[in-house]
Amino acid sequence: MANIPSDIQEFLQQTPPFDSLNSELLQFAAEKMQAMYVCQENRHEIMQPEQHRLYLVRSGAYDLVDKDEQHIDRLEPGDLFGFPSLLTGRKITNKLQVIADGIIWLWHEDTFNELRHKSQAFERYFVNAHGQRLLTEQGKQQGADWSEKTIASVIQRTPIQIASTATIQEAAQLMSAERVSCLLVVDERQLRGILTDRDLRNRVVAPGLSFNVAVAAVMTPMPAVVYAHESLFDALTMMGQENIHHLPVLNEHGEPVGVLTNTDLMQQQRSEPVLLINALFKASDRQTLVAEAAKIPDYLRSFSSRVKDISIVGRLLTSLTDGITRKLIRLYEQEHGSAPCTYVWLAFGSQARGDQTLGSDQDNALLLADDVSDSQQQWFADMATYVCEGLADCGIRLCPGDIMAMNPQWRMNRLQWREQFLKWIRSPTPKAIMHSMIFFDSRAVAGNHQLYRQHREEIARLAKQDMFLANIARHIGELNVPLGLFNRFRTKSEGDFEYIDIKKHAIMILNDIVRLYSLAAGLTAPSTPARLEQLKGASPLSDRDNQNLLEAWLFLTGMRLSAQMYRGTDSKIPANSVDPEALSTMQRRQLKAAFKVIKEAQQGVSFKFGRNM
Amino acid sequence: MLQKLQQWRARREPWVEGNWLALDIETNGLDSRNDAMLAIAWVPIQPPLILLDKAGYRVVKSAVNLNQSAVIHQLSAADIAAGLPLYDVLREFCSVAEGANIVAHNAQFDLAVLANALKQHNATDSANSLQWKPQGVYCTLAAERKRMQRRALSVQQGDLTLAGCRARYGFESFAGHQALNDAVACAELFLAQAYRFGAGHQLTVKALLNEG
Repeated sequence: MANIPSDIQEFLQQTPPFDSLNSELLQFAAEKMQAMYVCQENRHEIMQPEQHRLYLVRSGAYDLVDKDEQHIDRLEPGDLFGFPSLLTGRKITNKLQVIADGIIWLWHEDTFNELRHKSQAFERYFVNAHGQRLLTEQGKQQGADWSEKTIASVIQRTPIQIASTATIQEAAQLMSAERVSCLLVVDERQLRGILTDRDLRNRVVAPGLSFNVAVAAVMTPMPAVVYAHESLFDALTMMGQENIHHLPVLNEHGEPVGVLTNTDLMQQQRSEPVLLINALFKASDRQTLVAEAAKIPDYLRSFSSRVKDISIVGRLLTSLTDGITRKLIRLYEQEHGSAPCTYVWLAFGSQARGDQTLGSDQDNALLLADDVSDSQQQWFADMATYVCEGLADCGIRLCPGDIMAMNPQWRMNRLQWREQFLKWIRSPTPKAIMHSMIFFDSRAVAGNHQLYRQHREEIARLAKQDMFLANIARHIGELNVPLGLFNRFRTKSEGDFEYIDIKKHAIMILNDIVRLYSLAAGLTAPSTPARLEQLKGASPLSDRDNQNLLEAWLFLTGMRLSAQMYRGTDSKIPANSVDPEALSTMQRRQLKAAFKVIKEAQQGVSFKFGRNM
Repeated sequence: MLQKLQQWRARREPWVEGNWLALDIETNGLDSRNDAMLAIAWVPIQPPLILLDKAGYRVVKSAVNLNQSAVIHQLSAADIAAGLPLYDVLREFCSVAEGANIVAHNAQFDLAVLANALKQHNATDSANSLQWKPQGVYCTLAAERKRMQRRALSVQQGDLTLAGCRARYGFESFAGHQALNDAVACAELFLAQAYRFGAGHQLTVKALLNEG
């Protein structure tokens, strides 16, 4: 420590991957470094062909160019270079151009190798950076939080099972002997259904069914399931969305390995999400519901500060919005009787994709049975008004574009929806493309899932139309990724502030790109990660690009959420925006990497779909 | 005579081949004749490199009054109590700085403190007396003043502090008043000044020393 200037130590400590070194290695790195003054006059002295060094820019600005003087990157304080040739042992052919004189720090090959050898995090950083996989780098590790525990880690006992041919009486006897409130119905190691206390009460005793009937007749067939390797949060979301208390847990072969109950989740520490969801579901009237919902923003802020993967906040918020929607529909039905015909409450846009934020507005609609009558229409009109206004009171603001079920334009039967989609698909003007895209991200929040599936599959078939896809590709090609010449950020400025709207200029473009691929593949899933998962293997999108897009999406949505969570009320930067200057060095590098991924995918899209123009 | 010849030769070398050493000394006051040397930092310069890996920082063990400068330098009484004997520090420095051209901001002050410390030591411990003289001296402050005068720029207050000079070359601000930070900051400033002054022509050590 004695021989290391505190300035240098501080700078290193803030610069990835040096920030991951322990104090002993950091000291070693600081003791072994040299500084070089680089200016126009002496720039040829740096990066000699055989001199393999790791370089870190301390001050000044430089352009990295290849042997043909083609620009590769703009280097600014905090930027690293030189490591590709250190890793590969290849001759150095790149050169440096000086924009502004300054100091560049350097380490010799043996120091670099020793640091790599002694620190896995250091090694991994450069391997990732060299493979342009910087987005997988986690910054500093934060404490693990409960919702990221796997389901496998909390299920305690093997599930109690029964064959579907067993009688109801046998089932009840087994439940009583094992003191459980639910049974998994399993044939040949495959889950067939689930039977709970409640089913016995509601489907057997109440209607007076014979106890000799087979379990298959009264069980809930094909229940929602979770997988043992998934996180508790996935289970929580599922329970919240389905409003169920028992979730069968399967292993990777689809065999049941346990049951997760609401109580299991409650027993986990910090289970406020469960409590909040339960409170919302227990609300007996609109007023209580609105009061509970008012706690959501504060709750999310404290929750988001504890989780490592902030993207789960988006899923949680979506889950809560779904729950509130269903609760409002139920409250309306309690007063005005059940829905008079089959219907689906549709969510579009961010709620459908599961990446809602606190600022998201409502985007919803109704899909009604084909034979809906005028008087039935009126019931839905009143219900929709009640639900949309209720959602607004719960903090999910009304849609400025009026894409809401309370607008008669967006209450249609299946044939009318089909006509509407055909209009967009057959005359894909730029304006139509821009306005219709969110409708292709849809999800059934309440109502008849069968009706929704028919509708959605039909739309997916209709949308696989070359001209339509080509026009979407053209639309995407016209969007601007905020990465300018020499990989510099392109910011907007307002007064003294420079910022980038990462929702508009990155996340939306990425969602557009992934939507295009999934329309082309006829997929119906709305969420961007789910779409990417389904696109793996059989798509014009390579698996590598697929992975890159997923990582970029996770990074950007996380950054957007944290920007939003920690944005002061007096913030001069618009919502969904970040000031690149205020980011850490690592975040800046990752943001650039994410933009680069989107830019390349954007070019790929024009190439793959634009040819049909 | 031989020494003189070597010196003459060394001064005719291109400046980038010269032997340069940036220096900064912490004292317990601003009076170079009476105040004690508390700590010394050095960093060798081999243009365009600053050999941070060969930098040194030594605290001198002394029983002096810290005055106000303890606050300025962030040196505590405990740091000083844990320091090395003056003789050890001086002996190491003299060997490192053998034949070096000293680079410092307000070099006169640092050299006076150093000369004073040497004299003091030699007076009390003549058996181990140390003889050292810089090969040459380059003062980044004097060089900056000349440069500004040449450009007919008015020298405003504060403009010639180490931080003020560095700002004109686009360097980051730094945590000043810690000897090693100051020595490195001074080395950076030296290179920036020298490369600008020598741009486009063959600059010798001698010509550069005349500038600073």
